[in-house]
Amino acid sequence: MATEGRIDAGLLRQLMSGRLSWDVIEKILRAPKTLDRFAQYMAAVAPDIRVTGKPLLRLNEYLYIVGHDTGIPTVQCGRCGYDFGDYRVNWKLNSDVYVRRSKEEFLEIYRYEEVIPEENYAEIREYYCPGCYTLLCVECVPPGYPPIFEFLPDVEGFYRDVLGQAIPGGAGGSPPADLTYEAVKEHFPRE
Amino acid sequence: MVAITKPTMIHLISPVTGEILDWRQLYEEKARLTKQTGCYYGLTQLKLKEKDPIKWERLYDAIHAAVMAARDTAKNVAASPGARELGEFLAAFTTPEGDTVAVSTGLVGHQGAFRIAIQFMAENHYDKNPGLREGDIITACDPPTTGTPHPGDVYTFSPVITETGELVGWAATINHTMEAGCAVPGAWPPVSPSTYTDGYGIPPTKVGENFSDYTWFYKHLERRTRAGVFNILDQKMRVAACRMIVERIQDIIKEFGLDYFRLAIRELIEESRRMVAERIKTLTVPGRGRFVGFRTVRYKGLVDGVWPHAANDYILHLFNEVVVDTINGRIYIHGDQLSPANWHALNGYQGIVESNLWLNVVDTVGIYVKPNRGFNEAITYTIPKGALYNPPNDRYSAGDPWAGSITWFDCFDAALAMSMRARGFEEETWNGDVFWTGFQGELVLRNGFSFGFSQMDMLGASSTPARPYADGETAATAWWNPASDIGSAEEWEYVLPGLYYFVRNALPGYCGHGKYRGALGMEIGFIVSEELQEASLGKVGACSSDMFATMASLPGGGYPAPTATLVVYKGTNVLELLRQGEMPGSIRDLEAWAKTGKFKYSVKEVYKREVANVFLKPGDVYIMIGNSSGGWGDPLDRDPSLVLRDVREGFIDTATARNVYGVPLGGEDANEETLSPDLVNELRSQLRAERRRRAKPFRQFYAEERQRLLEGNLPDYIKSFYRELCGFSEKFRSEFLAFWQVDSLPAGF
Repeated sequence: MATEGRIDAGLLRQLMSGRLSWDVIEKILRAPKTLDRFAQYMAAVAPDIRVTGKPLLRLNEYLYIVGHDTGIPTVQCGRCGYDFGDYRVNWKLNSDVYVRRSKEEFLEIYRYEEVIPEENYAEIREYYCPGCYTLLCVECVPPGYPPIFEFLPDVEGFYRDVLGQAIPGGAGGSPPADLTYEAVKEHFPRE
Repeated sequence: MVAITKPTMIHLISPVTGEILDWRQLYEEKARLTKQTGCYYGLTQLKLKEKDPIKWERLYDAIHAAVMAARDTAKNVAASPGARELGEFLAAFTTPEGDTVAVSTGLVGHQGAFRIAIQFMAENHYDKNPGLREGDIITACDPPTTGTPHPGDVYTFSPVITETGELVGWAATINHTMEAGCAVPGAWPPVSPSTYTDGYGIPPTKVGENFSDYTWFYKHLERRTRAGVFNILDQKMRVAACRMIVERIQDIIKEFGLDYFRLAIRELIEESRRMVAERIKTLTVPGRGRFVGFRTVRYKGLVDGVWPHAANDYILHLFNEVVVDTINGRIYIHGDQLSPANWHALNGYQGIVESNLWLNVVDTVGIYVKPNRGFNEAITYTIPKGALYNPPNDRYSAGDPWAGSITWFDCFDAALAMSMRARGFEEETWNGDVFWTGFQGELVLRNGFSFGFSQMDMLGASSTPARPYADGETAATAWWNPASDIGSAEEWEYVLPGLYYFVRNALPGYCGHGKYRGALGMEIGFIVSEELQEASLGKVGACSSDMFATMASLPGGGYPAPTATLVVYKGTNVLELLRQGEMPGSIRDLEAWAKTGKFKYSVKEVYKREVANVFLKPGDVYIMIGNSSGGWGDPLDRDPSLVLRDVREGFIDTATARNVYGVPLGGEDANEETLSPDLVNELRSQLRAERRRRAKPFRQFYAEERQRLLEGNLPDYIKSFYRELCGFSEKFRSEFLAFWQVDSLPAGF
């Protein structure tokens, strides 16, 4: 049983396949949490991601923060390599979005009218990768609500202070500033 | 001349200097030393642990065993069904300041709140009046002064005092009682404009001595609640548990010695704080997580005549910003974008925050750590005065605070999930969206006898969230109670005569979709029988949302879970159908039978929001739907064989398989032969092409939405939401205005 030893990239790949039994998963859950995990994990995901640059962190199910020889790390789709730009800007600004607002549109996703969000209160936004049209994130928010910036990791601090490694190119500061509002101002004209 | 007996004065002894202190001085010493060193009570070294770790662990085991035994014995001495059936009960031992050293299983989160009642007693000199003696019983259930999150949660304490008069700790217990004497029947009043409609709440109050309750308190429970018998049983249960703990702790002190005991119980807390800090360093990536949920309060048209100041509709902004400091092993929760408190029931005080916080540490950065006060010491939270969970004063209702606060802390869990997965701990990652739904009310039997209750099936039967490697599971958890259970249907029918279960099952198709789907939620349905004159039932604690999906977005990015809903059919022929031997098994049966005319009703009512009272007569049908969870990842990534299994098991229908998952399977009798990889790939390609066709670049979406905003082309209640939030939270205001590039809210707002 692999979990009697260390949890390596191979076992993590099996876990990610969704095909491990709960018996094995429970052993992984109970195994000691060791400091080599990050390296093992990045090795585990490496064969399946198509990014241009050095993958620095997994941001969510499909997106990665990727380092470059020059310039600030960017967010890229691990499936197709589409580049969403500076990781300090909410990647949703560079996605494609589809918005559901009507009862009929909600019922395409939820089966019963009794349990759908209320039209005019809530809208459902689906954010897609413009490269491969993978569904990256769903939001259920009131109309007019700015997109949620779920996770802004301190990549520079993590690499420097935890891993003791340098990031190629610029790292973006520690902690990084949220540059979403500057990006809006720069790229989305007021009129 | 009447002789006056002075109360017995207790004293305390500093665990670090050995000096005799009074109660207030102990708090001052602890606060000063903790601040100076960053360690709980200034314990930069765990001297006793280092000297003899086996003895030290034996002490913890002895205390832990005492509280476990007390819980499991006392609930069989006397208890309401909520405590006995669902285990909604906790026993603990705390320091003299109220910091929990060890907890039993059960309603574990409350340990975070015990210290609030105990500090209240210290600050108000309860040691002088009424004085503290061994065997004293102190009960408390007033959220602002006692930490109890909502009116139905009742705490009972008993001091542990040595023969020399030293206060060395507290036995502390809590259970979720069946009825709290609120303006509406039940234990979580969803309609309560102020603290004065929250029920019989009492600040810490001496209600007995020599481990025996005063008669007046039972009479109080009989008079001021709708379930006096249940509440007296629960009081006896808590007292029994306290007595067991006090007596066992006295034995433990004799075995280990008082000087050792005094310092070691603080070291146990400091060890947990350190271990949580170490977990944060090991398990996380530093950064900022932001998640949000929305809930509604709709009192307009409901309370206007009596409480016009409360007659408003609100959308609550449950926004949680979590900053993880991996380097130093600390986490900061920022509540500065929460909605303000208002004259409704969904506010909460410090106890709801401390309880929720503890619950969300225990299964994230608290794994494999002795569960005690050390968890709370490792996390810092700030909530501005006036916010939903820090009301401007103690007049605000805390009738139903779990409804929103569970969501607020699910957002904390979600932020940690992203940080921990980025570090590579895939196995510890999930969406964090754990919710529950409940109902409560009052039954009037045919003989005129009436009583109130809370029904807790769906408190013990939450779904687990989807993970990056597994679907959510139905009725599989209640992380607020690791010893929880859905309870026995027969027990509930015995306790609530006249409410016949006709369904208590997973509801097919009721989940959020994803590569790994959320768990199916449940439907629990009742038929009101002729044994009752009337039933007034409410839908409460609907943490699984109302007008919105459960959480606004999830770490896994899939579809959030659908809403929790109450469906009522009035004036039906269902009792006649039962007499004919026809038994519906689901809301789907009723809907199908309605189409053929077999099931007849005069009115169908659907409530997504919290409901105080729906008045039902024999033959009416009441169905609660709730407790589903959301999906992880893109449904078009789901293994087609899992989609096939879901269809064959009846978990989803073929239309969902085709349209959401991109798996064409033909009819409901799908089998392996109908699963064609080529057809799946073709359909999924078509669905991705459809996404490309219908989506727009965010830039275009932004321009259209900004224009809509500038024109004020939004419903009034949405505009009111933004107006209120921008007026209360400067941070939300500045970010909202910056995002839409406007200097102030447009004129239409």
